[in-house]
Amino acid sequence: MPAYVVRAEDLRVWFPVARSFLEMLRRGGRRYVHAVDGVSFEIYEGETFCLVGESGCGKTTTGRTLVRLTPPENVLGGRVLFRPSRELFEELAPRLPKVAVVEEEGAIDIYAVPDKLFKPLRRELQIVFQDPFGSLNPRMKIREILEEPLLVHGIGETFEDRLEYIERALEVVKLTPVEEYLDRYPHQLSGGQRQRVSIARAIILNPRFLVSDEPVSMLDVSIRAEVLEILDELRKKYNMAQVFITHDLALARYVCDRIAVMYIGKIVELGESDEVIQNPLHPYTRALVAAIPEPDPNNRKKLRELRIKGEVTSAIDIPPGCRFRPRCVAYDETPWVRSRCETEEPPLIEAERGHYVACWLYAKR
Amino acid sequence: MASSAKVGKKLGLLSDRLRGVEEIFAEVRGQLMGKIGIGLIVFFVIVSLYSLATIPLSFADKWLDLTYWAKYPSVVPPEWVSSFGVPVAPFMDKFIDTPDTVYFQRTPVNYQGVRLFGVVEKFSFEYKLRQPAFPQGVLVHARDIELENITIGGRMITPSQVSLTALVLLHRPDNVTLLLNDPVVTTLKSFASSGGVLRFSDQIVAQQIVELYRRKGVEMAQDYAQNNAAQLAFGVYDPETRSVRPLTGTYTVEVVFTYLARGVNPNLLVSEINAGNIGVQSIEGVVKGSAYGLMGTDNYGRDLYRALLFAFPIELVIGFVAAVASVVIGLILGVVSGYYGGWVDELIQRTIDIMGNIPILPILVLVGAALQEQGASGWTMLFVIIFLLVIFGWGGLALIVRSMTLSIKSEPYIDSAKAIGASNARIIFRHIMPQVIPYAMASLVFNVPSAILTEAGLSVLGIRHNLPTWGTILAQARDYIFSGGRYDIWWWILPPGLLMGLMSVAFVFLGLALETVVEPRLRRR
Ligand SMILES: Nc1ncnc2c1ncn2[C@@H]1O[C@H](COP(=O)(O)OP(=O)(O)O)[C@@H](O)[C@H]1O
Ligand code: SF4
Ligand SMILES: [Mg+2]
Repeated sequence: MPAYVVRAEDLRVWFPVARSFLEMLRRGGRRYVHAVDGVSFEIYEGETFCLVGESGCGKTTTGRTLVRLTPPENVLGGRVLFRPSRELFEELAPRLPKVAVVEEEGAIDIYAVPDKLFKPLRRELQIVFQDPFGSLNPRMKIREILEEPLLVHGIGETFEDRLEYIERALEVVKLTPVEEYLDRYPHQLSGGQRQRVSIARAIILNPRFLVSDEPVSMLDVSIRAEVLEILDELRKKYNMAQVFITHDLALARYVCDRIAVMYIGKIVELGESDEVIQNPLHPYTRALVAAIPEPDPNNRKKLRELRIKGEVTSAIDIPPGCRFRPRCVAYDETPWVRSRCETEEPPLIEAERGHYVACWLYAKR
Repeated sequence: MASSAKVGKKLGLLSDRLRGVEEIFAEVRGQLMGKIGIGLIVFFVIVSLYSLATIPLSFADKWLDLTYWAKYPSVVPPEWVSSFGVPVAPFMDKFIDTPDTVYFQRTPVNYQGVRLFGVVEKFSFEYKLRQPAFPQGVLVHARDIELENITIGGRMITPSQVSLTALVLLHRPDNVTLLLNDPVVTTLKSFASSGGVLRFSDQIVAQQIVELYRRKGVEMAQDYAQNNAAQLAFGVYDPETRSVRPLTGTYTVEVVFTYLARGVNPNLLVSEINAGNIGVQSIEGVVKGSAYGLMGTDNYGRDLYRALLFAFPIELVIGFVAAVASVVIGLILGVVSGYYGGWVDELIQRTIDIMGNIPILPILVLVGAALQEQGASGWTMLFVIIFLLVIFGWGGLALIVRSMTLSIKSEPYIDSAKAIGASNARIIFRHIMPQVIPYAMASLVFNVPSAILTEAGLSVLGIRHNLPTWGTILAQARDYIFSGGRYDIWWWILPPGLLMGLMSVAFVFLGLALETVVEPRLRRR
């Protein structure tokens, strides 16, 4: 088994719900949005790991938590382990509190690192955001945007040194000739070009781990492929571990090595991407797969059965038992499983080799 | 070749820091309002510099020294009104450094009913009244009084042993001569220590006038004559219309000093006076005209031109210090409040709430009254007032900056900056400040006139630092009117009012121009 780069262990990220004055008077316990509610996975070198699910299921929160952008006070359980490069680990480990270092694995528990000491780790943990319009400061030139990470980490002594890094990063994301882009402002670029600037900023520090949060969902279909290709090249060239977040299962199949399907803060199915799509096990995944548009026009006419009901339920009041139950067609159709669905949360179990699912249908009776 | 391109890029990076300010400035200048605003402000700054260069700060003390202003006509318009056809009696202030004659008068002579003999010293000067207007009177100031002890014929004479009678005579164009002052007999010494001023006496003049007209068969009441003494001295009474009209022509003012020293040979005293050892050596003769200077005078005869000019830099200092200080505080606390949130935010917000609900005016009035009671100097009071304006002035901007910071903070690019490891300081200074500062600049520009106007308002409410500022000048005009003065004192009211208005317009125009450039959405707050 290859060594992981990032590992989430029973991660829980809850956001307190703002209470009204009356609710405070009633002195009920604080209520939380269970954005991420106990997820575990590992991401390996050189692989692209997808987080897939409907909007609001906690993908972004998971991604942000992996790079420690979620405030520590909202991480109410579990931990995120990151294995930095050897040099960085050796440089950092002696300075970190003992609880933050997992010596035998060469890993660091990123939420156990005090704020002040975290900065060097940012060099290797990077993220590209969904919104190519909002994630670049409109008042800074591309050159300044790309120079910022270098300045922050003290890389490149002179402006010329830094300019070299900047130019190299622009070449990697194929914004050439670089001179044409250095002095432009974000609003002078197209969405695709902006997203490539975002990627350039994320990789200019040569990270080991990169989260891309729906990096193409706001782009025209025609330019998505270029951006995806750049990400894939980066993975191959630097053996980067990547998390790719998308709500589009078809896209995940095209991009990812492994897929994790999330539903209201939990991973309900996880496996090799071809396996998950060709042989979906969880009723929710099945419904998602069935919703993938058929490329073959002959098949497209066939009315496809949507094997799901209702709407996503709230992440605040999670029903007891299986959280997918209110929408589950299998629950209606399979009487023997019902009692367990109603009372116990299904654990993520290995139903087939390397293929995990959280559903009582697959539990050994 | 390649390296020069890189140097060029480096320079480019430097100029980027200034880009915002430069662009904004260029755009402001492009607007008519911006042009007017900047032009006016440049004007105010240049005049202020001129004022600082030409009027010493001690003018503030001189302003309060009413004796200094005694020789000026009170409540008179500027001299240039004569170009608009208003007849003007000119203001004359003449220095006469040698007496016309000094001689011994052996037999007593009668000067307007005063019998004189002894050593007589005469000074004289002419005053031409060309336009039909009344001067406010005549004032003679003995400038150089020699007080040496002299030895005559073996006897030592001190200035307190020399008696002195001083007369101011006015020879009118119609050959009438009037005695203008009350000829008190005193000693040279006490004349000198009392200041050596010979004042126009309404009563003395009135007596002679009444007598003069009685001889012509015209009865005139003593108190009418006394109330109009200055006019009657320079005019002719018309019994038909019961009014006085000015008498134009050349007047001669003759100042006669008579010295007597017991047991001294008068001829020797004459030569001592001529030698400059004793006696009045020079005089300043003043005819208070019916107009003065560029801007006229107030009820104490104070020169409004100098006061208004002196106030230019003070107004700018009040405006700028108050505005800059409150904007800097508002900016910093607003950003801190919005960015860090939590209890710091809570503390700052509650402070603003409290400050916002404390009415500033009563506090200013109280503090001002307390300071006046303590006899604080004008400058101290001024700075306490500025301090209070700042303390109560930063809250509004802090609220706006806070909400701007909150919205910028939630922009995705702030997350991006955090993701690459940017510190809070870097995020604040590199990402938030550049967007907030232009707005703060606009707000600063608006704060300048509001500080100036508040200060002026306080003067009207009686909180006086008594420095000559436009506000105080205006407030004193109001006091003058309310205490029964004239209403037609336009030269006293309009200039400070207009200057305040103009200064407000300058900054408001600049502010509006800035605001449209900085943040079109915020144009209407
Ligand atoms: N900072 C936050 N504060 C409160 N609730 C949040 C916050 N971020 C996300 N959430 C909530 O957590 C849930 C998951 O959100 P998100 O991770 O953005 O989902 P996804 O990216 O899958 O659409 C949503 O219900 C969202 O409203
Ligand atoms: S556990 Fe039950 S309710 Fe949940 S997905 Fe499986 S069958 Fe449906
Ligand atoms: Mg999302």
